[in-house]
Amino acid sequence: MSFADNKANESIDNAHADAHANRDATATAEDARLAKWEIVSLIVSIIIAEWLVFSIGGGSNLLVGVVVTITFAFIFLSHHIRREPPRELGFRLDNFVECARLLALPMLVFTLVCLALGWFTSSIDFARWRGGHSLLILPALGIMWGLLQQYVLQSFVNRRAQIIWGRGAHSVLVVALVFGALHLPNPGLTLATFAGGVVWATVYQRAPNLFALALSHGLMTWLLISTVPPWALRGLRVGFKYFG
Amino acid sequence: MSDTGTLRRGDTETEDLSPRRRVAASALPFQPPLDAASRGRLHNLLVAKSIVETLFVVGLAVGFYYVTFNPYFRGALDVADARRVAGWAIDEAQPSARVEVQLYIDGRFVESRAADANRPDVAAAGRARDDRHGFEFTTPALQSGEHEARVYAVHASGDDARRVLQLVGKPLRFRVGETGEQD
Repeated sequence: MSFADNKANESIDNAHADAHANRDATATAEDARLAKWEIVSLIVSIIIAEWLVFSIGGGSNLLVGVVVTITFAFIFLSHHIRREPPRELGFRLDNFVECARLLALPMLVFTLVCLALGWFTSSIDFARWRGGHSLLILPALGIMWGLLQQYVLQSFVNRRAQIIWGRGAHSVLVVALVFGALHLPNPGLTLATFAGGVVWATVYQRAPNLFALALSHGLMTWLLISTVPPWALRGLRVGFKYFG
Repeated sequence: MSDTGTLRRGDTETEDLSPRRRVAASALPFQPPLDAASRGRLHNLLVAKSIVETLFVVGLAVGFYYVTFNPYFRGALDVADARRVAGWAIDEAQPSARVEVQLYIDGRFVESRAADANRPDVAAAGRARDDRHGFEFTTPALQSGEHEARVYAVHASGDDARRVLQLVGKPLRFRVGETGEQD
């Protein structure tokens, strides 16, 4: 093969590589556009539930059920189309200890801040969260509710944010902002969930384990309710219910 | 992990990469790009969800309107002067029920009562099955000058959690003289 033939082959290879790169770039841009749309679509569903169903829908269980069904059907189908198995989403145990280790320091700091706040405002009451439930059922409910929220926030929003902005501060900030904004107009809870969102999103990007995050979510919620003055949290009410 | 090639989707740690092959996590693609068919399915899913949610919100709004506001109230404010405010009101969805009406003068609540006074002309006009759909309020003492009377039909909904006032007919303006009588 002559030198000229080699050069010709090389330029063909380069052209093929450029075409592949362009196609990948277009595909990635299109994926990012779809991921943005997915995040917005999820936010719209939650806003419908928090603001419309509880205002003009009167909080009807049937209407709440319709919105929840639409939302979770959408989330599950999206996972299916993107070929995301449960293990990849964070339903796994192999990295539980690693995830718990990453959560330990921020949780310790949060605990100290909450205890200091509760001590200064004389509002520490570790039985405040009972709300008529037995102390055996309550932690299970808290952790299940935490698992549900973390699943939606991390396995869906965080993963879509990473498709758009990659891993790191940008996607973490978006996840935390979304989490905080969905707790509006409750200022205390918005602030707390934004801070929690930063920590949980960062940890998920390093060690995606939903069980450890759910445990952390349940514990921190209990601590928040037990230490922060009730008037500052207004019964954890969000959306239209905040005014009720 | 010892090689970027063995990185699995969802595994994000970079600490174990050998220095020679260490790659910033953010430089790795988070997921391989979707194929065209999957992209199309995801697009269709998003469009379908948007349509379903739009229909849900529209249905919620229309349903809320029909539950909260009664579109079947009919009535009129016939007289408003220094002595009385009178008219009739009927709920065409429940023609035998008596509508609760409230009188407001100059935007201030005056009195509430059931529209159950005798009005044979309303039944004769085919508006009601019986004669008792009229109302008559005694006008309270008012300062001299021009005033406005409005009568509202009351509609309760949501197990009486909401009570909505709907204007009956059109507001009537009237004048009260120095002696408290109609000008």
